[in-house]
Amino acid sequence: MAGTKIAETNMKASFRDFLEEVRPLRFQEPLAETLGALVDGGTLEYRFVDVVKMAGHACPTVAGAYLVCEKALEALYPGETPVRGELAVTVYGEPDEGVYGVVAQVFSFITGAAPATGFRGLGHKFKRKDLLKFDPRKPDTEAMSFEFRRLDNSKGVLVKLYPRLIPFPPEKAGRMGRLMEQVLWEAASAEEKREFQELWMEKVRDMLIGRKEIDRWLKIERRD
Amino acid sequence: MNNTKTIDVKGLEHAEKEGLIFPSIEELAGGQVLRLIVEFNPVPLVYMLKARGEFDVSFEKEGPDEWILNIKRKSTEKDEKKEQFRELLRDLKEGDQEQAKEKARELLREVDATTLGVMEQELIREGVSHEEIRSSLCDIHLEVMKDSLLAQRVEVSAPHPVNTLMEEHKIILDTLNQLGALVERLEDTGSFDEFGEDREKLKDVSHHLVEAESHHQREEEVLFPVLEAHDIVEPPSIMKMDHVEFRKRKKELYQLSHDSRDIEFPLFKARVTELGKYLTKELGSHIFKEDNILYQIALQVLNEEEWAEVKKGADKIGYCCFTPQDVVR
Repeated sequence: MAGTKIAETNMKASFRDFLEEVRPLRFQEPLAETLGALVDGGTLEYRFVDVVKMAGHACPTVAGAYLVCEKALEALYPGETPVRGELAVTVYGEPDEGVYGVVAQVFSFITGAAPATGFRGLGHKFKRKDLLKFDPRKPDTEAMSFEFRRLDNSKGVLVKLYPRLIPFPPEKAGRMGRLMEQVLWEAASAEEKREFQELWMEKVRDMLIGRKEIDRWLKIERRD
Repeated sequence: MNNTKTIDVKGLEHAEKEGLIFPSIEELAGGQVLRLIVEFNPVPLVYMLKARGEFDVSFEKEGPDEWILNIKRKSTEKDEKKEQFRELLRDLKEGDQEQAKEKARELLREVDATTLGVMEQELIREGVSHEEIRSSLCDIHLEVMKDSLLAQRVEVSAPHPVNTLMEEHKIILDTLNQLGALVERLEDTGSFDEFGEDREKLKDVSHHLVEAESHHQREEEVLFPVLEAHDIVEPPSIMKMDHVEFRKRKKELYQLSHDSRDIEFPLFKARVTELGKYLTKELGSHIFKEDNILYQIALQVLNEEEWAEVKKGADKIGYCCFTPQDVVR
């Protein structure tokens, strides 16, 4: 039917190219394997656009959370494929504080570590519940800090994200703030709306693809 | 309000009689009367009620076949005031406005903010509409009580959340003054060119007004729920209704000031003037009510721990671009 075709066309997500180009994160997922969703030891790939689908948007916070995961996984699983569901994550903030809740959702989606609402497990295995916790005691007041710990060998890392140090020209940041207000109060012209979107995506692209000065704003420490 | 209720329990079983009589007595509000008709002399009940001291008890009829007992719950001062407020609302709606205002002046002189808030809440529960309270009693209250409210007002120092909210109010009031001046100039203007630089000023003013949303958000998400937990429900509810009205108008003013509409000057002028006048009057009055009634109630009711939670919640939401940093730290 013609109507169905139109609906299908409209439903197809069309992401900006760079969002598709972000390095994916790959996992073993023993739960999916055990229950048969994955066959022959296949792995699960989590791409940035999957996170965008989960969050419903892309922004510096979501991009930062993705990069934090990537950094932690690289350090905890050198030369190995990370195991989903075998990581405990501590978010040093409160769930309703700033953007910590959003960041935690991204971590949960990618790593499988869930808060109190997560999967209770099958017998003694595959428990995801309470693997993601919030702790208001911040180790660094300037940073957003997160601990990732492997459950199989207790090795851990502390990843620190410094949102204020992510480089972005102040004039562009100012312009973006003004345009955002206009967009939110429905007072932006089509052109202004486009300009806002371009600036917004520019910052996300700078973080995910450009990664300029990333060692200044994304740091990692061993916590074994 | 019907002040007398009659129950006839003649012929009922003892347990049925008790099941009707005692709840009816307990339900009596101050000033209300229960006419109780029984087929025996209810001497024990009369002694019991007199001993409690909350009731006036008198016989309307004493035998031989039936006894009619009038049980009236004594009015407290608050009950009497509430009844007077009810009459006042009626007069404001139907009677002589000037006389009603004079009556309000006398009545409100000795009522503190908390008592007034609780009374408004009870009147709403008894069927007086929010809108009626909002548009009449609150406004009259403001008009007649301005000086005494200001005299009774308690202020707290930074970084107490009420201090922050009040400091933000001062800045919003300043913005409203600028808006008032802009509207005055606009009224003498015949074209966009003539309005000139004032259009940029209108943008700034409307930016500040929409920035105040986080102020409302902190009230609605942090302060009001704590007040509601103390059963102070109606005053926050009235303030929330105000916020909704302001938001609609701030949005339109913001849009008009940002050229987002293809609009002819006369219509622009008419809309900005109407919105500007509404906001300067109503938002100004809303701020006065919050500073001098709502926050005063909160300062009386909330304990230190609750204030600490309010502060924490407010910090999480964040502040307006114009909030002075030294008042929140």
